[in-house]
Amino acid sequence: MQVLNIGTTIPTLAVLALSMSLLGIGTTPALFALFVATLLPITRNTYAGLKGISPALMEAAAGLGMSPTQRLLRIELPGAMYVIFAGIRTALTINVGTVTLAFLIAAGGLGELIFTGIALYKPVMMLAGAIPTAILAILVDALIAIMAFWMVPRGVNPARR
Amino acid sequence: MLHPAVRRIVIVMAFILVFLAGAWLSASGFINEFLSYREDISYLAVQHMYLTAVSGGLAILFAIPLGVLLSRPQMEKRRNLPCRC
Repeated sequence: MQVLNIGTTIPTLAVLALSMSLLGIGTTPALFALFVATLLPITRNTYAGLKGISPALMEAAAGLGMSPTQRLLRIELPGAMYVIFAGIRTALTINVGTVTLAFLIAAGGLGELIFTGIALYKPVMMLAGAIPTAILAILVDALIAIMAFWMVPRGVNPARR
Repeated sequence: MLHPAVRRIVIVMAFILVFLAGAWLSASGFINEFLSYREDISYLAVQHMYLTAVSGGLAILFAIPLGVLLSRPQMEKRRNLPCRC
């Protein structure tokens, strides 16, 4: 967990610079840096969700004779699914915004219009990058919310009670 | 809740405001200039979504098993120690 905290605490720009010095320029280092920056929210929410399962439920499952693997797959994961989805939602929405920085190590993305627009004093060009990025982030957020609504089992889904 | 009549007035005002904003944007040439980047936007948006999908997908595939692993009782002792990892 501490290692992941380091990955998120270092500014994404610095992670990009570090991964560029390791992997060179282009798509691969950008993907790696984004991957590192996205890990923490998902891991932390998975952990918190699994820890949040009520001990009484776990004891009942053990009393029914379930093995630890069965308990994980049939009690803990479905119970934690809602929290896990919340983590994925946070992580991916931030990720969409961070992808704009990938332009700085020549990986493309809508950041190309934003940074070029800033450099050339062309506000419309900058907005042509910024507005689609915002729309994309909202779409991703909505998409994951819909997925969470349908994929989390009805009994543990606060939205469908 | 607002009174229905007040609500109707607010909605009509909002429509008028949106219309005026659109007219102003169009008159100032913003929309035409914006649309001149159409091809760039569609190409870069696809690239943007590709980068998001690949990095996000990898992160999900990696992070959930990691979270499960960290929550197992055996890992509990060394989870938060800054050293002796």
